[in-house]
Amino acid sequence: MNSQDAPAVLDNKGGQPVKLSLLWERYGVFGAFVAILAVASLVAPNFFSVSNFLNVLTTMSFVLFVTYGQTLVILSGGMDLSHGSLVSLSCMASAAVVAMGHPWFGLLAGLAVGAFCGLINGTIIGITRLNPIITTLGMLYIASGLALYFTGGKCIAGIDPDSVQGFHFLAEGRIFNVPFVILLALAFFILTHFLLRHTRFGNHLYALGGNEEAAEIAGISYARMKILIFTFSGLSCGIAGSLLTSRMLSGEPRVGAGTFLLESIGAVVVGGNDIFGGTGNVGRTVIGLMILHFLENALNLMGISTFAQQIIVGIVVLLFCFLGLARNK
Amino acid sequence: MEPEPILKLKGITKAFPGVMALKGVDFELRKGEVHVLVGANGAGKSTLVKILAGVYQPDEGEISFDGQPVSIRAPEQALERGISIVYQNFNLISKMDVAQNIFLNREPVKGPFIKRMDWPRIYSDTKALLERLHLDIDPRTKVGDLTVADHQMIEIAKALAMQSRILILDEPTSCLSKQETDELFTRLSQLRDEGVAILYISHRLEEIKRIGNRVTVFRDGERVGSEPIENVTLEKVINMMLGRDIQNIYPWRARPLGEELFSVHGLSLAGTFENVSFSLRRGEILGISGLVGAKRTEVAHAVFGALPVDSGRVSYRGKLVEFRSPGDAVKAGLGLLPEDKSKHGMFSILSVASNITSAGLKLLSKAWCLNLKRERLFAEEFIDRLNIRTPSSRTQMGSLSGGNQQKAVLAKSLFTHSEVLVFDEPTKGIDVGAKEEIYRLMVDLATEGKGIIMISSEIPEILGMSDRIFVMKEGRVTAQIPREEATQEKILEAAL
Repeated sequence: MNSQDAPAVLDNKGGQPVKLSLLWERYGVFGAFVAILAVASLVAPNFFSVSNFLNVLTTMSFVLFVTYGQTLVILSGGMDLSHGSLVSLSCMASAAVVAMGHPWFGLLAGLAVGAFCGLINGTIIGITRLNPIITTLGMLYIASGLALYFTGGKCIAGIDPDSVQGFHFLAEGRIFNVPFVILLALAFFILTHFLLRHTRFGNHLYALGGNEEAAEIAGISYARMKILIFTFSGLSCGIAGSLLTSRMLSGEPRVGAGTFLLESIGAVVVGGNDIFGGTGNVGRTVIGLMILHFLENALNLMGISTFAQQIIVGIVVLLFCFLGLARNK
Repeated sequence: MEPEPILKLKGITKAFPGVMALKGVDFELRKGEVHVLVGANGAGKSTLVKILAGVYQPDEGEISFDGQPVSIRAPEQALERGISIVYQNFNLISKMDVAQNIFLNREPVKGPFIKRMDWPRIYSDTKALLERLHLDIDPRTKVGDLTVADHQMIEIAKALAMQSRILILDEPTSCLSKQETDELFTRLSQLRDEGVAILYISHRLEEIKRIGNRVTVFRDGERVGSEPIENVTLEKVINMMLGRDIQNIYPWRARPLGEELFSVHGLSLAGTFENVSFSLRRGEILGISGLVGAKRTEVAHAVFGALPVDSGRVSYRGKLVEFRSPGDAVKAGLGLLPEDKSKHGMFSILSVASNITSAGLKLLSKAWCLNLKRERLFAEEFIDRLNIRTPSSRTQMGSLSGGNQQKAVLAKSLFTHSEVLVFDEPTKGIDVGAKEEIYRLMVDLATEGKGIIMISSEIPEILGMSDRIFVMKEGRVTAQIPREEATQEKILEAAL
């Protein structure tokens, strides 16, 4: 793959004089991230260390999968609110099968459940043209209800780590001291980037997000695109859910309820992608999520209470939205 | 020798709420011809294009392609048959670059197993294509950063890049320079000689002779006739287009004009319009003409405080005023009937009564509570006065026909006692009968002493209704013509 030939996104070419605003547009978010790292290294004790970085990246990796899906949905001009619930439901599904003694089928079950729910989202949105936010809000309730209904709200516990070693390795194993889950997240990043930049599907996705009517007049099928995009989004939740089972060796019906949805949208926005679709890329999302996670980590290390942390993170999100708005003018 | 028709339409009928857009139209397009389709606004040309594009489905009638009856149910089916279309309103994606737009949904791919985008080819092919058209545009430029004329050329390039058998162009030259138009005509002649069937829609009569092989004229949703180019004269085409004496439908009459009511001096907004000045007297209808993109609507919005301006003064009833928001302007006594009614002029899910009174709720309320009985009474008074045809004042606005919606939007401005009324394309998309009623209302209101500004792209309408005519071009006023001296040629000359 030769990314030199892809449309200019974060890279400048053509030899035109670089304007300051253009520089900010392209590298601003990355600069902000580096600045946060630099400041945090100075003020937060124990922040600047390989082990701390790996820790943050590991925790982050589980959310990363979900943000890839959200990136596709938002770039195509939609939004997927069902993310947290789909993670919970996939986690429960995979834990149930793993607990029966079939770890690899458990992995597949998690992926399948996530992808299937996404397929339902996409089919409803694509064929009936119901608003994505409303559709996925419905799915949010249904999936979270199902995750609880399964076991009456109880966790699925008691998976013996020795009997599922290979499966457990996915989330907890290390290769050359690098957590395997980070490598998985990286691999999935490359796949997502490839889909967006180097396939017709990706190009059509940007077109749909940029101008739905024009895309359809060019012969791009709205229904087909929405089904593929939301299935991908559901699948990304399925991966996160299965990996959470692999990590915890239990199924928790509320595991996705907290941060997954908020961070998946937050990362896309903080990274500077257009919330209305059409422009952006998955690299921005990754930087967005890194900003959120490293910031939280630094605040933690500085001993700032979790309540105060939330306030600060909220301000940062607003600040980045504001900067993103300024960019689009 | 008669080349065989590649496309044949029989008895095509299409109705929209309140308007019969096409009434049993027959039409034929042959290989290797440029077939010019002319007609006034609302004649049904664009509807016909959208039917061929698969965007609309005809209510009745049949389409045959290469002698085979077909139905075109979706845009992709039109593309598959080799029908490509340059629309009047652009279908470009402004957030994508030129090359991405040109190759949208026809992207070349490479690779043995995984088909990936062939970006180098997309950019080099685009570059070659743009060079062939003598366009100095970088394929990597975002479309949103280009001018309207460039957009038009990119739409054309997009259509040319397809190996089309039928090429349809809807008013392609309305914002092109002379040189760009020449370039386009050269390319079109080449394509015609290669056997492509070209349907060329225009209301620029001077183009017909230059590019056309045959002419078909539409009027009010019907085909008036088709003629080989050798047999037509411009006069003949104009007569076919208009069908009757043009003056008849305009109820204009001489009126005494009062004192100056409203004026604008040196209004400027960088990159949009510059040094726009005009004044309006009581009882006067001021027509503002110009092509799409002349920034007439923007000037109206700026006067209303909906767009900020860099400089300029507005005075109303002899006093300098500054409207910071449309609310200020309405309070002072201005009323705007926007071009895009459904977007800026009305609440389609609310009742007719709520719409009429929506800008003056204070007149209906006591102690912050609305008096709904008064709302109904006021509304019924206006429904009566303007002859708005609606089952009741409680009917949803969206279910009325275009002409009656327009009258209700007018009622909204009258309800707030507006003295200055700005009509932006007042008869766009409404049928002839409703048009006449709107014209009559405008004349009545002017006779009552209100000042009326009418922005219109229809030159006959401007000529027929205005006491004075301003022509705008690219954000500047290029001519001021009194009614007695106005001709279509003078307006076009100033607008082009």
